Amino acid sequence: MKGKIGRISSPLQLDEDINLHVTGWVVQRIGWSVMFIFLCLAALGFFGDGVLSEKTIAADGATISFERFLRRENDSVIEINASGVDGTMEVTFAPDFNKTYQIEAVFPEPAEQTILNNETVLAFPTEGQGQITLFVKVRKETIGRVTTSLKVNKTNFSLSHYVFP
Amino acid sequence: MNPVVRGLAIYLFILLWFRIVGKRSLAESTAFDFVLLLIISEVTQQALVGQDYSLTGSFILIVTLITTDLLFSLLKENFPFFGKVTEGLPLIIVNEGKPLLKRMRKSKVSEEDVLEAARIIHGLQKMEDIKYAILEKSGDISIIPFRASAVLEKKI
Repeated sequence: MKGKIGRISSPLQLDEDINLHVTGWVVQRIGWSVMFIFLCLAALGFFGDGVLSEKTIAADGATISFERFLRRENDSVIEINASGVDGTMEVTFAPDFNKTYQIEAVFPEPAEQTILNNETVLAFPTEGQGQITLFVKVRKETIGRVTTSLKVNKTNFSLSHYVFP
Repeated sequence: MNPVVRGLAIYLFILLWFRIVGKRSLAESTAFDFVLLLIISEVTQQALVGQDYSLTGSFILIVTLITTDLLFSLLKENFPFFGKVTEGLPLIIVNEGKPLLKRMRKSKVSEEDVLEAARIIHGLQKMEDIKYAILEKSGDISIIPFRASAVLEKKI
């Protein structure tokens, strides 16, 4: 490639290092490929909000959907779907959950909120075994890998995320 | 995030990005390029400031950006090769009225871009009227017409 673009001799007082230009063009093409890969990954949700980021875990009839990849200071919604036990669905946030996230909003609002052994327990009334879908809007302030846990009707769930700066 | 880290990250990212995209992206050659630069500056401003609207935060950011720029200019002064790599070099794209198509293609410059610069700067009408066209470090195209070149050669 270097041989194809020749030097120009001119009376211009110009620092034209053609070899450096040629190397620069090669680096540019590599950079464009990186840019394209970055764009594809972002569109697919590698940095949050997309197919690669979505994760759903299920246990004992309850499901939790959340994002594996988050961006710092960006809101994310954890969707909890579970049925009530004896007319109540309970969600318990472990102390590490409260340390990890800033809870921005919970919808629907809990009928009761108690703190027990540093754990925050939210209770939602249901009709018998009725299903309830809960949306917890959270915000993450730190960066890096984070694992936290919460309980839905005494069933423990572990949520693992990677938070980008 | 610490504003110094944020300022440095944004500075280096923009520097790297514009080098990768090419110097013509800075040239604001079309109205859309201008709008794109405005959008980039708006997004950058949000990323720089985040949720810190304090006066101290803005002072830290300003000092970070100016100091980084100063450090870079010192590096360029003491290590010319560093300057060549980070800022690029001028490139001759028209020689004696002949467009150097390979160089132009690699630099994403079209013949129309050269002719436009020739019309705007010197009121030239044809490629044959251009002795040299140079793609400058800034991404602008400078034109040396044959008549100016004749004066230059006489002086030499």
